[in-house]
Amino acid sequence: MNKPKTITMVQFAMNLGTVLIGVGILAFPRITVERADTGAPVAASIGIALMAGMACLLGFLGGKFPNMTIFEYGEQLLGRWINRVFVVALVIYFLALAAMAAREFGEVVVTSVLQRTPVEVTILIMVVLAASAARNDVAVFSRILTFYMPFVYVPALVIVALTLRSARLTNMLPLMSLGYQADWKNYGYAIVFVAALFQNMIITGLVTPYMYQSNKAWKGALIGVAAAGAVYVILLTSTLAVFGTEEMKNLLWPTLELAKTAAIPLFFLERLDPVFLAVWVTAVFTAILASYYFSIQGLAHLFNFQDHRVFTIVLVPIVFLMAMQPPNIVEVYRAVQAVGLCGLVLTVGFPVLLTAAYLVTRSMKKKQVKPA
Amino acid sequence: MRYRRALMFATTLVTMFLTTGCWDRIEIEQRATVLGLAIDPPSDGVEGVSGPYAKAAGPGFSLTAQVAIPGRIPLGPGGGSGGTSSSKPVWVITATGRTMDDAVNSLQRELAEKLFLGHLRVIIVNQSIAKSGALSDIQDFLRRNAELRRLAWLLVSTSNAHEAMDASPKLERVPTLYLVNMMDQAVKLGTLPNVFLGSYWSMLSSKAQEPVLPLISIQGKDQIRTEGLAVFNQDKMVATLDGLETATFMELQNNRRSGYAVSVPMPGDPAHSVTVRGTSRAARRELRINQGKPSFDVYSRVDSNIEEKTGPASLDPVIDQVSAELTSLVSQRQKALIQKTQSLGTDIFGFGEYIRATKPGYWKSVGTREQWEKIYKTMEVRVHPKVYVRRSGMAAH
Repeated sequence: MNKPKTITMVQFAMNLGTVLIGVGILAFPRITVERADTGAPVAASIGIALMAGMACLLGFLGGKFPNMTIFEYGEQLLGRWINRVFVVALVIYFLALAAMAAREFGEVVVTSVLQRTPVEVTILIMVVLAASAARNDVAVFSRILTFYMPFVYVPALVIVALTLRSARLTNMLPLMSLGYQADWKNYGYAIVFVAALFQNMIITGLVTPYMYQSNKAWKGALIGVAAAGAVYVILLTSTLAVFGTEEMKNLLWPTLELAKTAAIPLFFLERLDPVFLAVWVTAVFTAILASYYFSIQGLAHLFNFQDHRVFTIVLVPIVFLMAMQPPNIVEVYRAVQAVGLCGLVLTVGFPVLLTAAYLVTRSMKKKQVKPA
Repeated sequence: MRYRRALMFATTLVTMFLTTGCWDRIEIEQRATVLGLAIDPPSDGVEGVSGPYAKAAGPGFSLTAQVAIPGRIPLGPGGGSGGTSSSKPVWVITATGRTMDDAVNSLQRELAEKLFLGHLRVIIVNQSIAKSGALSDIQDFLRRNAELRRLAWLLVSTSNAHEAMDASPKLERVPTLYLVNMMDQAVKLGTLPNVFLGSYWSMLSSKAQEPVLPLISIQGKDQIRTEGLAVFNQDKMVATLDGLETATFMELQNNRRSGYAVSVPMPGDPAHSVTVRGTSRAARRELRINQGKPSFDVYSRVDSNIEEKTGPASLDPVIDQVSAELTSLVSQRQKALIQKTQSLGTDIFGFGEYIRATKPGYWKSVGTREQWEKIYKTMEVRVHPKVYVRRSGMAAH
């Protein structure tokens, strides 16, 4: 079955760059610094490199199966039933991921901006918004993501530039904390935690068959993850340089505090945190949309539906109820970390398994060809 | 198809009600915008509202807030159309409480409008509170409040802090804004380091640097003066630095803007003097670890201009001597300041942070802040200042 080709390589890179920046950017500096101290930027880079590798694998597979989504070539490589087990797991997992992102979003909004608005309303609106945007086909989905990309990147970088005045080099040193402040276990946790923030790269498997040049998908994947990774590392480094490790452990959302420290000497723009939050809402929206969309496409594949739209509304209450499970902010972050880390088995395991299966079948085919 | 239309209708209706954003709508007249806060120890009984279990270090706080009156704040330069001088643009109210939140809640009881801290620019703490160690109980409230900005000034006052809220300087109609302007200018002129609420927090939680905060005094009815810096050991204020000590502190801290003037006797004519103002500074520190003992070399440079000379002698032949004298003076001051902080055991320069950053292996053997305090007390710090006199103004000699 041929799919309409509408997405260029650059566009795909922009899409990945947008979906990878999500709700996690507010809290992740604290969580990584708690584990890896001043080594956090290096640990984060390792985690990002790991996920860039995974995205590349998916891009590579997309090039080999230029007309198939990850669900379809998974079926060909692993067999129908094994693939189904994985797809079910992925569908449930990405719904949970969307739910956690929506909840974290709600908590931030209720704490810092709309203090009287019930958290249920904020979450519900975000989920409904993602669901209504998810009714589009892949081409439009990709265009939505492309459109928002500059809105996410430019303001984030501007805010960082404006806060560097109070940055201090000693706060960032030593670059390698292993053996001094952090042990292997905590350092590894920091790496894995950052990797878990990049799980939305799985949409590579969804988008590649719609690209003009699927064989270049791995390149787009690499650029996209690298761009998002650069934003993560820059945010982490600048929060670290401005606050220092010990202060960061006291801040629930260091990135938001960083935006609060930024000031342009212009009276009407004296505070930049509202600007930053507005940017962040778009980033959250695109990230939740990507998780949700991936789940829905997975479901459509499972039930052999031509049209995925049926599922968009049906799943809203499920995501909403999942999001409302943690009773307080401490539990929210426990759940966010637990969900993120568990899913890594799936989002790293599945691409690796698929690639292994592909390589094995290819070598077997070659062997069969030789004697003939 | 009929169901579908009904569903669409229901969705539209729900969305209409949910997305209006009315929950947090608040008119500007309905909120009491706090511009400045002053925290004093309570003079007599404390009236808390949060129940009997509210407890902080010390007996509690007396909180004085300067609330902006909507419509009376002059907008833009020239003070707007301006009311008469009798209508003050701010209202000063006081309440007491056993903790910070307790006091704020009790303040809220005196107001019809909701207190809004988003524009809070200055927090002044009475030094008796700063010395009692209650500052850590104050800062927790500030940290949790999402409206508050990290760039607010946190000041220590030598006398009652609420007097600063009552003071009405003549140059600005809103007293707090005058105070903010004063601090901003002091940083620009190089007479105070840029230490605000956020930097206080960072230093307070850092592993080996003690915080400092600007110190002000209120004299008479309308006069507010910057005095220098208050030195803290963790959350307790332990000493003060006067103006020249503050200048020395900034020299050692590589604070580039320099704004202090200092006088030295005229070479060969001790009855007269030369006054020199620093223009820019630079400092660099080098760490040496000898047999498990750290020591520092601090190289600092001050560029300066001659501002005044008394007496008839010509300056040209002695200008090198003036800079030599200045260098030895600065060297003495730097040594004295380092000794002062060492006897207090408060590393306000962040030497410990420097060790943690550059020699993590050694820092591992130091470990804690308390241990570092001990090492700092006996650590050797060698200073190598150099003062250059660059220009001498419009006078020829």
